[in-house]
Amino acid sequence: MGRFLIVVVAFGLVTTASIVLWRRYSANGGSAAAAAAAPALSTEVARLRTEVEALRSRPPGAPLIVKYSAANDGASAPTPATSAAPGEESAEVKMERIERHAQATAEALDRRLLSEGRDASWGNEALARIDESVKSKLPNATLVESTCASTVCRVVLKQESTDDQRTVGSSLSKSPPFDQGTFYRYDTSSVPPKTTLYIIRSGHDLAELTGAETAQFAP
Amino acid sequence: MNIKKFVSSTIAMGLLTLTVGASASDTVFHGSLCNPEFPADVSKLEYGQFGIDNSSGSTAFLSCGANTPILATINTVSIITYDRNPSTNVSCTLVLTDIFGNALFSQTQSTTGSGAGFMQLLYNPGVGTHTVNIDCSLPPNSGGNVSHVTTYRIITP
Repeated sequence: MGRFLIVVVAFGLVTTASIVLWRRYSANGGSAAAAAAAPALSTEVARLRTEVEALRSRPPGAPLIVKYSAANDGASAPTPATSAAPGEESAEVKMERIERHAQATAEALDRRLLSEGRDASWGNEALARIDESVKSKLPNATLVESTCASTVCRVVLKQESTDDQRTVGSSLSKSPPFDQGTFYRYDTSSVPPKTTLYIIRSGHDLAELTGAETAQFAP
Repeated sequence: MNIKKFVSSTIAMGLLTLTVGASASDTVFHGSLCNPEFPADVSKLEYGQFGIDNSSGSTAFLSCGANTPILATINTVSIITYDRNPSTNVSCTLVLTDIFGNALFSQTQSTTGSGAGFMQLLYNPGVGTHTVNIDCSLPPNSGGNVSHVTTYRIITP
């Protein structure tokens, strides 16, 4: 009888200790989970605040447009590093300069296309190849424009989506006349998206064709 | 005191020069860093002192990446190849891409003829980019002589 009592008391103590330990473990696990979820929660709160502010400032009847900043949008695109060594450009400044240089390059090529004479032999051959390559490599794209002068051609393509737009380079870069040298400009804001390709005639390069016109934006 | 000032100014000028010039780069990559482009090319390619070569009886395709400074303007790309096939050339397509893989500039250059010595493929894009990819085709071996991509060099201002 005495032994039976000892076994029952021991069993009770072990069970109580197990319950207490399990509760403590759960509580600790919960805190860890809560700590892990804290940044996500902060992001969510920031997003909600932005939405509330947008709702408050919206004129009556106007559609709700919420602009999330990178800080409160957890799904934003990867942000480049912003720190720069003293005397060195930050990533933002560099990106801006590169974009200005690319835009100036495109504009200089547009002007060249208008001003330089036409080499009928090279131009006609290039136009025929452009048509062939676009039809065979990008059958879902629409060739909106193709123009050639004597050192440069401009090709404008219209595609269904920005996903389709991403395939332009890999589809055309090795096909004639794009293989001679191609500079790409993407217009993702137009609907449907458009891509402008400038073909540089073999034996020439961008610096030579755009010259001093883009020098002010050059590195 | 004057000597101290002179020394500190000199050191400051030196540091400034180093910092300002830090964005320029001239990096050479060994051809053995290139990879087979397609599964069928795996068994065709060999790697060694002279980079990557095609020991098989059919053309092999390879893809070479590069480690460039972010948002660099690529002024010059130079590829050193050996073309040992008299009827087919070594051909390489340079593609400058943004961080999402979209092409910003592309150009294909090929060797002409063949021989024992090296041949250089030269590109002068002058375009700002995030990164660089080079796809090459290596002709089949010719009488036991193999064609290589030995090195590729990327120069930013």
